[in-house]
Order: sequence, then C-alpha cells, then structure tokens
Amino acid sequence: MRKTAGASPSACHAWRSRHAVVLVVAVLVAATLGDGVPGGAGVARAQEQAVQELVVGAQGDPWVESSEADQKRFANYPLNSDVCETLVRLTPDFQVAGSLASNWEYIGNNTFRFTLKDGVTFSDGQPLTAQAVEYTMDYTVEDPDTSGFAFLGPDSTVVVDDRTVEITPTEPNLRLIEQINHPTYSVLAPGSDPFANRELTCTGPFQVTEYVPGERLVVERNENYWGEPAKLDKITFRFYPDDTTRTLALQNGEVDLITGVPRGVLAGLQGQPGITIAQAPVGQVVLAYVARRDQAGADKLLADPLLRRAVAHAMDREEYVNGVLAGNAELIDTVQPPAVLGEHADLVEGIDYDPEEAARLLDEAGWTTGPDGMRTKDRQPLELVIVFDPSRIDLTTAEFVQAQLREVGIAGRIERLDAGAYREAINSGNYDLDLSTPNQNDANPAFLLSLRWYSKATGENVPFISPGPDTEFERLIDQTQQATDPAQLQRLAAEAMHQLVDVEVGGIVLAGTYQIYAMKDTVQGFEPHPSGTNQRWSTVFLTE
Amino acid sequence: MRRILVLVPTWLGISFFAFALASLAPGDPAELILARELDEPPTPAQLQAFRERFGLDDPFLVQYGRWVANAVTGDLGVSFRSGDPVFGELVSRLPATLQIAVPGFTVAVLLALLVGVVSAVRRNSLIDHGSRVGALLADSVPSFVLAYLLIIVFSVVLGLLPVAGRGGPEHLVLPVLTLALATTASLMRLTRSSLLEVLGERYVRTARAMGLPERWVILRHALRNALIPVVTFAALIFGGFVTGTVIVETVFAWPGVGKFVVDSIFDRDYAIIQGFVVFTGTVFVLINLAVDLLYVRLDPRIRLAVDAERGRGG
Repeated sequence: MRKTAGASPSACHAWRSRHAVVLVVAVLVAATLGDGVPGGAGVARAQEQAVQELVVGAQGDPWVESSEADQKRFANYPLNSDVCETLVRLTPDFQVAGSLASNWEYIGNNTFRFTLKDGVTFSDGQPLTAQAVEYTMDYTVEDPDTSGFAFLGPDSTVVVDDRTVEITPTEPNLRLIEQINHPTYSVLAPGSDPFANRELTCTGPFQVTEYVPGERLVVERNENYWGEPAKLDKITFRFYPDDTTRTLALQNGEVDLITGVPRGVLAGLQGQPGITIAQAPVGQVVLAYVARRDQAGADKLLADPLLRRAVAHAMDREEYVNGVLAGNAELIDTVQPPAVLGEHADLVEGIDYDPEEAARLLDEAGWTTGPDGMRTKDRQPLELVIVFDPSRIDLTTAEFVQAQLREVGIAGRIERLDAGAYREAINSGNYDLDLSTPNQNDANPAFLLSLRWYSKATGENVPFISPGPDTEFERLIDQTQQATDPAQLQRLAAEAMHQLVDVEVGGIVLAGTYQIYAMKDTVQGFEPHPSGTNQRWSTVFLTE
Repeated sequence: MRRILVLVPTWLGISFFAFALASLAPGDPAELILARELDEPPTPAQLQAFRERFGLDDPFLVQYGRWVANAVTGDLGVSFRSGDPVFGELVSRLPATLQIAVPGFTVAVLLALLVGVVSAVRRNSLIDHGSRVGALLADSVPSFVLAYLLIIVFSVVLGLLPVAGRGGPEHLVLPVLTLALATTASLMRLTRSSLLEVLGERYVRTARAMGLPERWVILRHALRNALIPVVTFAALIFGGFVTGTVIVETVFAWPGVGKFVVDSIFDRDYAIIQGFVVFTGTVFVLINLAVDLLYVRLDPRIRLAVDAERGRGG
C-alpha cells in the first residue's frame, strides 16, 4: 500500500518536474531571442580588430527619447560620429576655419555669403551644391519651436549659384559665422530626413550603416570621402548610460575607448597598465550665477556688491581644483574657456581667494559675526540659497561652496532639486547662487555673456542675474553684437567679461573643466576636442 | 469579469492622481524639454508654441478630461519629447524589459523555493543557518552594488561575460542574476517561514502518521498550502519586474521601460507618465486576477468557498 501510494505520486511528480524544467528552459530560451550583437569580448572581437574597428563606450543614446529637433541631429549632436560636416568648423582653440565652405564673408544687410569648396561629394557620390545647403538650413529650421539659436528662418537661405549661397538671419545677428559651425547646421544631401527615417547622407569621412536605438550606432568609412580618408574602417558607438558600467566595459576590454570618464574613477584608471587617459583643453566652466533680484524685481541679498565680492573672495578655487576635482581641472578666471578670447583673455583678472578680505567686506556691509561664527544684520541671518543643475554639477561641488561660505560666516542652504524643480527655481528667481557648467560649442566669445547676463536676452532667468541695462557690461555687449572683425570681437568680449567677473561679480568662476577620455594603449591618433560635440574621429587608428 | 471591470475605476483613479501629482510637481515640461534640445534657455515665443501644441496652457481639469476622452478610444496621446504615440513608445520597450523580467523572475522563484524548502525541512542545520545568513547578506546589498559586484567578478576578473548591453544569451546572464538574487532572499525567507508554520499543522502530522513518504508530505501537502503568501509576494515582484527595473536597466545599458519612464518623469513628460500609470495599473490588476485564480488552484478551501458563493448567487 505504502509502496503503491508512494510510486504513483513519485511518477506523477517526476513527470511534472520534467515538464517544469522544460518549461523553464523554454522560457529562458524564448526570452533570449532578441536582436542584437552576439558576444562581447572574445574571438569575434579579436578578428574584427584586423579590420580596424574602434568600439567606443559612449554615454546614453541621445536620440532614443528625444525631440524632433534632436532626431534631426541624429548621428551629429550631441554625439558627433563624424558623418557630417558644417560650412565652417570649430578649431580646438575655438576659432572658425573652413570646412565645406572655402570662403565666407559678411556682405551687409545682415547677410553672409558662402562659397563652397570644389570637389566635395556626398557619401552616395553626388556633388555638394548650394541647393544642399539650402535644403539643410530649411530642414533644420522648419520646426517652429526650434528654429535654432542663429535666428534662421525658412527664407533665410538663398541659392546664388551652384557653389554660392547667402544666409540672412531673421533678426540682426552678426555672430552667424561663429554659430553656424555648431553640428546642428551639418549639411545634409537633399532628401535626407533623419527625423523621419534615420536616413542620413552627408559628406563626412564616415557614414551610418546601423543604428539600434538605445544600444549602438555603427559608422563605416566613407569610401567617397572628398578629403583625407578615415584611418578606421568602422566605429561602433555602444551606449552605456551608467558611468561605472562604461568604465568597467573598458577594463574588461569590451570597448576600446570611453567618453565622459567620471572623475571619481579617474585615479584608479590612471594607474592601470594598458590604459591611457586623454584630456581635452578646457571647454566648460564651473561657475555660480549670482541672483540679485527676485521675481518682483526687488533686490535680493546679493544685490549688494560688497556681499557679492565677499562671496567670490571666500571661494578657495585652488582647493576646489586640486581637492574636489583631484587636479582634473584648471584654475581659470573667465566664464567661458579662455581660448575663445584669444590673446585678450588676460583682461579678465579673476577674484582671488582671500577670506580676510571677504570678512572685511562683510563687516563693511554691516554683517556682524555672532557667537556661533555666523553673520547677521538686524537679527537677520546671512543665509544664501544654493541650487545646482543636477545633470551637470554634483552635490560635492555644492557642499564645497557651502563650506567655503561657512568659513566667512555665511550660511549656505543647499536645495537639492531634480531637473524639473531646478528649472522652476532658476526661472522664478528662488535662489541666490546657481551652480552650473556651461559648455562652449561654438566660436562666439560672447555667447554666454549675451545669453545669460545681457538684459535684452530673452531667457526667463536673465532679469535675476543681469547687471542691468545702464552698465558698461551692457554697452560692451551691444558692441559685440555689431562687431564684424574677429579680433575686435574677442577684445570686446574680453572687456565685457572683465566687467562681469571683476567689476560686477555677476558670475563667480570656480574652475575650467574638460572632456576626459580613457582608452586602450592600442588607440592612437585620437585628438580630444574641447567641445565634445565637435569631436572628430577620422585620425584615429588602432595598433597591434 | 467583475475583476476586469474593476480596471475602469482603477485606471481613472490612478491616472487622475498621477496627472495631479505630475502637474503639481515643480518644473515646466516646455522649459525642460526645449532647454535640453536647444542647449540654451528657450525664448518666450518657443515656450508659448510648445505649450500651445500640447495644450499645456489649458486648466488642469480640461487637460485631464481631454486625456481621458482620447484614452477611451485607445489614444494615450503623444510624448512631449519625441512627438511619437505614447502607446508605441511603451510597447516598443516592453520586449527588452520582459527579456530580463521573465527569466529573472523564474530564477528567483526556483531558487527561493529550493533554498526555502531545504532550509525549512532541515531547520537549524548548517544549510539553514547558511541560507539565512546568505539571505540577510543579499537583502542588505543594494541591487546596484550587486550588479557591479557581478560585473567585476564575471566580466572584468574572469572575463566570462560581457559587461553590459543587449545582445545574445550571454548578455542576459548578469542582469537576470542581479534581478533574481536581489529578490530571492526575501522570497526564500517567506517560503521558509510559511513552510515551517504549515509543517506544524495537525494534517501534516496526520499525513506523516499515515506513513506517507516525507518528500510527498512536504511537496504535496505542506508546500502547497505554504505557497499562498509566497505566490502573493512573488506576484508583486513580477509586477515590479514587468513595469521596469530602473537600476538594472541603467547599469546594464538595457533599453527597457523602467529607465525610459524615469527619464520621462525628470522631463515632466506627462503623456508618458500617464500612459505608464495606466500600463502599470493594468499589469497589477491582471496579476492580482491571476493570483486569485492560483489561490483557488492551490487551496481547495478557497475553491469550496467560491463554489458555495456561486451556488448562493445561482
């Protein structure tokens, strides 16, 4: 009886177990049936090395959850895969050089004339013509929401002849040449519509051959390239949104090069055999925008110039560069990379760390020190609200600023906000110091000045931080808008920046930072560009 | 049928609250999305055009009413960021999420049941102590740390598996293991405690007294009854897996639903948030329905109660 009773359930159980195992295996197998590339490191990868394939570990896919404007810049911005080219390009020292245009000039009436280079062809073999430039500009600006920052409209671009094109911004804008080297204005072959179908025919040294959203972008050498051909046969950009994973992918050998190396892992990578670190020249600035007014236009605490200057003197920028950023930054005085100001960068003196002077200024402004070391006036504590852009600034930087302020008796209240709440705060003036890291991606030496502090700029947060209309800063920015000579423009921008930083203390510079790349020793010829969106890949090659 | 009809008020309730919360949160989607795509602050005209295009200037109730009216026709709207239909955006990412959710859940359940049963049956043995300590450790380690540990061991040190990315079967191993290990511990502990409780019941002692083999007593009689709380908990885990596992998807560069939705929240893309809330609500209501059906299958007393209710109703 016991045997019988035991045998039957056991058999039944065994049958069920077998089916359970088969079911589980089936589920696992079914679940693994996805598209994608097989394997990571390994034999296949080693074989591909023979065909000069560079595998780049890039940050998150910028086109997968993006707007129409972003998708129109597929493969060009913010990750530049070197597939397309602009009329003029941005050099590593932030100057303008020819690219598809051999000549360009301002011909008056807000109009610029470009003459196209001879012998340029698209990757499909068709020649570059003025009609392609017209198609590109019209395609780029047809979205009414995002007509571009160069003030281009649907009638701005006019074909003069097959090799000549004229561009007239919709509003007075003499900075077009410095702006139009931005990858947004990459020239496409007529009919290319990356927004609609990811079809992209361009003139660059590479061409797109595969794109799997969220996973990878593959480009291969353009055999019809009009210039010096690319040394690599193929580049695969794999997207790793997580910084640590991207770093581990390099250590594991899954990728050859990674972008956006987090500073936290840099020290560890620097000591590793077989890995090289490459740093671009300064292309970003860590700074604090200083809010002087609130939404009603009333003065805030930092409307007082003595207090603004005291805050600037309280910042031990050397400690920030060498301590917080572990030496992976530069001590600069300008709110844009100094290179963009050329030989005039020295006009901006900067405000040195001097806590005694900060204390003196605070005393002069009537803020007295209490028994706890913190300052008050009329029983009102001296407290500043610090906000920071969560996508660009880490909490450590905000805490550094807070600690520096405390040293001179100023309380700093850090508001830790997500991207939405941060935007809300800076657009409503609910802060005193706004920490951010603006990038320089074009050649305009006054771009940030005229965008963020110029009272005639349209940004919602400009009224809170602008020095105001009746200032020397404003007069100089007016002049930069009219300058046509590049050297004169640099000098005027440097003078305006001097007014902003040294006189008005409208922006407090903490450090100049740069793009950091890590790569295997086998990667050669990589020349990091200070503007990450202008990075080029055609000179890169692999050694054994 | 009644449970499926429950979906309607569930959808309405959660979508209303989600809509209200998203609207109350600081941050203007027009400002956020345009600033990101322009790489500079948008002009007032650009902001106004964006708000008009998506009806963001309308009062809250008008916006919500319009959304509901469209949703009943199957139109969940379009993403503020991409301009693509919300339904398509979510559905296109679901296969990637399921690709790790289903095996992750399967491994977690199998491992939890195996270890939980052995631990309960061999109570206070070395295996029991070991598994409990292991569970405590696994529960204490955040899933992102676990993910990095697995990558370091299996990819960097041993070089056996790829670090991240979606691809062949070998790409699945680490994200699946991370998902599974992160949830196995609590599921295992629940299995163990539930089984221990059932093993003390009189009917189990009766079964043993009748001379049934121990394996049969445990698997056929005890475990079946012990599974009811385990199934409930496992269903919640599965719901969580299906509706996205942000950390695992981010660390392993896995293009699933979770990370997509979190990015949408940061950008205040209400359309995506609403669509996701409806999707999540549906998943959990359906899972609860499945769990209820499973209860009936696992416990004859529940089946009898249902039958009795049906009899009264008929």
